[in-house]
Amino acid sequence: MSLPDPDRSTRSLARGVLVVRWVALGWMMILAAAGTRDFDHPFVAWIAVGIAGAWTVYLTADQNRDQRRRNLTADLVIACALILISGYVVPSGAVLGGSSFLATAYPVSAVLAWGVRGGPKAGSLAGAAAGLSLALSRPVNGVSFGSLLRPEIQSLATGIVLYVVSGLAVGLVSRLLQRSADELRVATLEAIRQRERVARLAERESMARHIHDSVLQTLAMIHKRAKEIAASRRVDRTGIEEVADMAADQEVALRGLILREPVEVATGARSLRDGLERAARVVNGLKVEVSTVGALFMEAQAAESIASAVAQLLQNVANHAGTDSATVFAEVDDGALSVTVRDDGAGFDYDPSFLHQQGKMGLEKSVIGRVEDIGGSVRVQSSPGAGTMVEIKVPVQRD
Amino acid sequence: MTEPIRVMIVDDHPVWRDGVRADLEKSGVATVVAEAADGGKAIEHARESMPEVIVMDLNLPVVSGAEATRRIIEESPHVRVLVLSASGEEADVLEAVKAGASGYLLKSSTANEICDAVVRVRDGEPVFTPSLAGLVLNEFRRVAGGSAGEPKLTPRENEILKLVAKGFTYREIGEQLFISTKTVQNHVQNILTKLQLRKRYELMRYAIQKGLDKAE
Repeated sequence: MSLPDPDRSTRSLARGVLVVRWVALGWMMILAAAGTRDFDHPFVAWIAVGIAGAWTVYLTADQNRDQRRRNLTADLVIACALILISGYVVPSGAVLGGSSFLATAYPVSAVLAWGVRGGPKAGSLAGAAAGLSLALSRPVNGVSFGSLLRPEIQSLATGIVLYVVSGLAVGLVSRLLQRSADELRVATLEAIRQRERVARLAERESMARHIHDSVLQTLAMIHKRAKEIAASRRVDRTGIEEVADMAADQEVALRGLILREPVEVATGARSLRDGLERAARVVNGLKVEVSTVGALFMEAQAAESIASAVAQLLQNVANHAGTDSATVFAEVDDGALSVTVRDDGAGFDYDPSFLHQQGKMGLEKSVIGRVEDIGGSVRVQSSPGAGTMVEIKVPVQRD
Repeated sequence: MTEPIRVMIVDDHPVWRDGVRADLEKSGVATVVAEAADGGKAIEHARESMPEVIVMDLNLPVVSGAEATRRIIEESPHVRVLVLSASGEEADVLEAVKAGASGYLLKSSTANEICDAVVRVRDGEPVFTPSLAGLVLNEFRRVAGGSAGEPKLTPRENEILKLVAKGFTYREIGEQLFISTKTVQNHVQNILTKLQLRKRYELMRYAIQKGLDKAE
């Protein structure tokens, strides 16, 4: 589904105005040709036609030009000038006869353009400007306002009103079209969002089903087969291999399912719980229970650092503690994030300088370094036979 | 040796039920008196077979595990429900515990852990995993609805839940806090009770809101 273009209605209206402009130009040329012999200043008349022609070509060449404020202003100035020039070139007093005026329709296109781009208010203002020029074309033509007769005033007023009304009408249509286009756009956006949401939910659902139907079933099967093999007296090598292959296949399948792109939540915030759960999966041969108070959304970089530090701690447990399970607990309490990694394995005498001498830098570099980089601290609590507990503390800003 | 514990297994996958049945019966601690493949059947069989402990999956057809737990405990409050579920179903786990389940284990637990948990649950001991402790802490920290009578955790209960969440056993917690294992268990039991009470407050608040809406 593609988004509707909000400016499409305005653009097609503007194209319509362009057609009006060309027709009006043609009409002006016909009038100029017909009136050349009668005009007081035929040369000036043809220069005016030339300018209008060049302007029309300029606007047609690039149809986005007419929406620029500078060009709109120029358009109106040209329109008003054409009206005044008309008063100048036609024979003195000809404005009253109304027969062979030069620019009648062409200025309307400028008024229409203002209405299309600026709405009813801009349209009527441009119409008023054109109307004012029409009024001023009387004295330019040598006819003073005082000498105007009643029907002549009426015809002038009609001309002015027509300019204003055409600007107003086109402006209203343009605004209406734009509003419905906006509404359509909002509705379409909403529909797209809804569809994406449904797709996401469906994906999650299908993943849960997939894990449930294939991985869990195979695990149960592996469980069962392994017990059978364990119970039988003779060593069934092919049977054991089969079970191992089943486990390996499912491991690959499961990795494909869960090691997907991490979910980003607005402005780069990320769930530390997701990060810790990923860290727990990375370490082989260690059963890790991750427990958090809430999803713990935080800045992505910090979450990444903490998760890496925890992964390293868990790797240490797997390598040295002689136990097959560990617990990770994380919460925000009293203005600080606290992450605890604990095992009930062999434990050791924690002595940083001794470890340093031995060249065992794992804890120092990848854990303490990472945590201190983000303004946190690490506390290690361990003794031989009593397991190990490492607590990472990072102050958090309240928002 | 005491009588084996009467257990019902509720899970929609027969392979899984077979596995758990084998684990429980081989250890000698339990005898499986019924199996059910969905929540509706679980409610029926619980009535007929009178198990002492129900090992309950949550992701069930017809009636969910949490709802089945609620209805079974409503009918027979002495039955203990041990939830055995796959990870990633946290919301459901919390719902089940609020509905009266007295323990929760991940499906990845070993046969020993499951047998051990069945015995502990039967003896009235709440079986909390670290991840359940995290969920419960979060539940109590959520901004409450503001009713004064709503049960909250005492500082001691909060402390104990955190230690459970860090993976300490009740015995280890007792040693650290200089109290008996039994006292720790009592605290945990109180936490469970408060959780179930909160559920009732929630329902009551909901009912009151509905009532006021109608009165308008």
